[in-house]
Amino acid sequence: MSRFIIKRLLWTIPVMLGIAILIFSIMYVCPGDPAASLLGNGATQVELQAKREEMGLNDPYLIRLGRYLKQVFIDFDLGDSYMYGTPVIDGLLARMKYTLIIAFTCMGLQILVGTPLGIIAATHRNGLADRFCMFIALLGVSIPAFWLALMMVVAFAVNLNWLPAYGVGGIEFYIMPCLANCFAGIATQARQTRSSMLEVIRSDYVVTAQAKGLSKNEVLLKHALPNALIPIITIVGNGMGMMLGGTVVIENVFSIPGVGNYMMSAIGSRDYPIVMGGVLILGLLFSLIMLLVDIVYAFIDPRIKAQYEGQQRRKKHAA
Amino acid sequence: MFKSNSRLLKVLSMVLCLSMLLSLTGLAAIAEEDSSKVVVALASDPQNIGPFQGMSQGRIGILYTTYEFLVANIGGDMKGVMMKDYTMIDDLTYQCEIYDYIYDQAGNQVTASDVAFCYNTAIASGNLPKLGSIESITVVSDYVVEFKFTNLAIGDLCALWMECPIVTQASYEASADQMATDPVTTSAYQCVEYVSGSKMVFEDLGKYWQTDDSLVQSTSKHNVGTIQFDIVSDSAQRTNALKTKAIDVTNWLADADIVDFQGVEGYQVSQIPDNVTNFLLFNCDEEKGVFANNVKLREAVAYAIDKEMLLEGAYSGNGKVVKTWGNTKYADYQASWDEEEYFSYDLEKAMGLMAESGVSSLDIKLMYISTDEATKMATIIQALLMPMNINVTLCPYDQQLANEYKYKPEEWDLLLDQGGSTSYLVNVWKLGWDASGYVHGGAENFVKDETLQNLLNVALGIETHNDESMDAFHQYLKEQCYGVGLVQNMGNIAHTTKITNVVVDARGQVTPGACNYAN
Amino acid sequence: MQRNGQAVNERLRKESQLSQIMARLKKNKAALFGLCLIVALLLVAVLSPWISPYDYTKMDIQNMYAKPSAEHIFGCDELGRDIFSRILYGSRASLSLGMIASVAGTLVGIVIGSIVGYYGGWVETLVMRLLDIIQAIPGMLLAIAISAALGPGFTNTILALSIGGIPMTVRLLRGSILSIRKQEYIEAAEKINCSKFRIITTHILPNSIAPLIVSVTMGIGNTILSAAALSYIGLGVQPPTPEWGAMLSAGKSVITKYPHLCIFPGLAIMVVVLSFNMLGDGLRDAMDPKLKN
Repeated sequence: MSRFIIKRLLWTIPVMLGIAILIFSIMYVCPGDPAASLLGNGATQVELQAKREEMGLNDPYLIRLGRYLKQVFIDFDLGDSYMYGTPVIDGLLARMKYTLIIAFTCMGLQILVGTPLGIIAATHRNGLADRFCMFIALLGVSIPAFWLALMMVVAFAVNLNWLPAYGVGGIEFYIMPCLANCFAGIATQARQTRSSMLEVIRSDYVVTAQAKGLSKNEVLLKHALPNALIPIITIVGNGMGMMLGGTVVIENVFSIPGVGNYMMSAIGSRDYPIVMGGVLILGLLFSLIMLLVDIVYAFIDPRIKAQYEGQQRRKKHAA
Repeated sequence: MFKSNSRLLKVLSMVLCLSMLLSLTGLAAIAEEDSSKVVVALASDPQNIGPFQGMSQGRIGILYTTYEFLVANIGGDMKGVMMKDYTMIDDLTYQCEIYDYIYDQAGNQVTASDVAFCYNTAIASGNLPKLGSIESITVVSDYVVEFKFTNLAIGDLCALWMECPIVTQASYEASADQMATDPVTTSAYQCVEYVSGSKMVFEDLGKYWQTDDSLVQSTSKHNVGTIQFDIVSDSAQRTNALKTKAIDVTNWLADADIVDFQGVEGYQVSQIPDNVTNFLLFNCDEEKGVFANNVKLREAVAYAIDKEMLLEGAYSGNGKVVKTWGNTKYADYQASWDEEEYFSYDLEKAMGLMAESGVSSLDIKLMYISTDEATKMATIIQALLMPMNINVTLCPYDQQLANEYKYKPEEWDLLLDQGGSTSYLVNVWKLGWDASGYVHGGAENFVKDETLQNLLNVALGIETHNDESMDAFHQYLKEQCYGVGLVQNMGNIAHTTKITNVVVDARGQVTPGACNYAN
Repeated sequence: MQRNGQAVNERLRKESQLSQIMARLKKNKAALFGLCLIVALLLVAVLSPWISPYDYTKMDIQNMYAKPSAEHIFGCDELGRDIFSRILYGSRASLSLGMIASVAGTLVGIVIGSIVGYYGGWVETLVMRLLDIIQAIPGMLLAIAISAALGPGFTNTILALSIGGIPMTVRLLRGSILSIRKQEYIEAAEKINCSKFRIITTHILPNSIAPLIVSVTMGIGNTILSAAALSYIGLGVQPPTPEWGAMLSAGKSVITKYPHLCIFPGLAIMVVVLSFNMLGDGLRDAMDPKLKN
């Protein structure tokens, strides 16, 4: 098991390298001039040229890529922002707080609300509760999150004046961003839970357990749910990626100074070090979460564990 | 199979209740009144607030709260802030004397060598390109610095002396991040909290160096104890914030939102004509410009554009149609131009000019920066040119992209641009029509017209800048129609009645310290 | 003889499978409803120049921000253009954007997936690792980065959105190739020296088509959502193109005063995505009868 984890952990290194090369290349072809952002509107073309030269933006692709990779993977430095003049990593860490609060709250809500909804729907299949839950879930995956956010602002901030419309602060600032961002996640979770529960419920052993006279709650929680967990966990992992991406847009709507907004304004001003650093950090975070999901998988599903251990045994035999 | 599942239902309902409870806490919205504090909305993040950074939309909002300069431009006149007096040695050499009792927030005294240090550091950074016309800075005595310039046009002296913030070398070198987040300056206010991307809080420490109030310019006043800048990029959000009194004042109120505050109890709206003007340029590149060497065609387009409609559509009628390449905000604007005819909308005339130009139909690209207003103007221009048999493709770009494509003649045929200056109208002309600012050797629209350049040089000269030279350039540009001034909009400043009088700087930005406050 | 018989059997089995799926789909009211909506929306998109009450570009400064009325049932936008007509016309942009990007991503995915399945070995390892990298970047983030690099515009948005769909298709296809590979008739086909290419095109692809169709259908809905989000934050398709996301982005600055500028395009997006999801759900249920009753 520990070898499996170490192997997966080591694998994130080439993945990060790949992400760095990919995002560097995307930013390299990105048109627009960081020098123009630095100098502002009054600068003439002659002055811009001089600034570009000084910033090393006129060097060829491979030299700049090499310089960047060395800086990130050997010096462990994401570089300094063009516009802020401060280390990118400081800016990202200062803003990561807000993004993580939203992403993890949403994740929690997705699991805590989505899973029960899916279970209720599955156990009441074709009943009123099922139809209601599934209709809500269908709406959830069909409503644009940023539009929902806008509508909530109009209703709760402007008309009712219950919640602040933008910014960060106490708990009340996070209610609307989290609700708008997690609706789709809750819906996806409920839909996935329902279908995996249904699949398990009709399987032989659950029917048997029921026939043995166990109470339905016991059957549900002890037999059906654990077996339905695997597809549910997959959704949780993927959902994290969705949340991290989704917060970018939600932060924009609510002017939350998170990583997403940081990166969006950096894209606007062509502050490449921030964009690249942000993608790398979010990519790393996402990769680690997927790793965690894989480990949880292996623990929950004896089949996967057995398969892996079996492989090890076979390898040993062969050797 | 299963009829009900009470335990799960309980868990579910608890979760739902919890989230409802969370929403209810929002009822305790933040609305405390504090008269010694003002909250100002900023449309964009100032990012690096270090002294030697380039000018940006966010930076201009906090500039005078954070820093002091040698001089300030007060209503078009150069007034000393740190400068006590100056003497002209020759055409290109000036000596500037500063007060001998200037101290920054850390208690370091500002001397002539600090001034020289700041200017030299700023020039080396390359972030303040205007300073390129300074040849050398010499420390003459403890409080006198000598500036030598390579060239000096009208308005340049003031512009150069208010371009570079002055801090002490000691404090600058003591800062871990070159003052990017915690500048120590000579201003009355010190930045005490900076949540990057969200807010900045400045406090009056009560130890401002200039104790003689008659010498304190409006850019340095400190009428309020605490100034908080909230960064709110979305204009609808700024309006919401003002409605809920989360902020006290905002620049950049959308024209359509004025009605929410004008004449409303507890609010006031101040409208200040913007120094920025919207322009339309015709690509006159010899090879790629469809408008090159065809003044009739340029005029045809100019007459086909209904500027009143642009003003109405883009700014809800809130502004003015301009009569030259610039607006009336400047001291060297000629009142006689108001009476002149300046490409007023006349479709028939436009059709006639089009026929004379020898061009029957056109397929052209209109480039603009994708702001709300520019998008509206571009859409209207597109519609207005349709009856002329001119098919316009809209090319909206963000600021950076537009800044790159602006210099490429193949990227646009028509360019919707903006420009303004903090000194004279002729400096606005310089930005667009002075070929020395462009690598391609032409003006902003790629035209290489020696007559135009000569007229501009005459108008820019300190000795020759007068009504006559201004009019000569205006008339020639109008005759050649290389570009047209369109409309000038209003800077709308809305505020709560906590502020009784709003004071703005040369860029039209609110200077919170200089505003007057109730009680 | 035996070989012929097997092929015939297989064809028969497939045909009956298809008709079963269709029969089950017909019984699913929600899916049928979704399908009808999609057909109606496609008709609207095609016919929009003729059925729109106004020209979608026609400006009327007098009617700026006009509230919904009998004359303009959805009201007018910031330049006095009829919102209803713009939504009708905008269905072209939004629908084609979603469909082209989703289908293109899937097609490229099928090609790559087939190559992977065909060669196996180090090609497979290499491609799958590359896909790992793409998938390690949250989808929306990747789309944002790519559209920033390509610049705004219709084709560029399609490109940015379709790239994100490739890895999933490849994985899906590879999964079914792996599971089918071990089945008897493939082993049989391999034994009789049937070429790998033939195996993939005649046996594996047709068997994987069902989950692919479901994923494309669902993908269209998601792509439309992402496209709208991109336009909203100022990338993607830009105003004045009457794309729904772009309309939302143009209306957001006045949302508190004239919410109808944002409500209707948002509802339009919701209806379209909803109908694709309903159809997708129905298709999935029909193909996997275990889940339904």
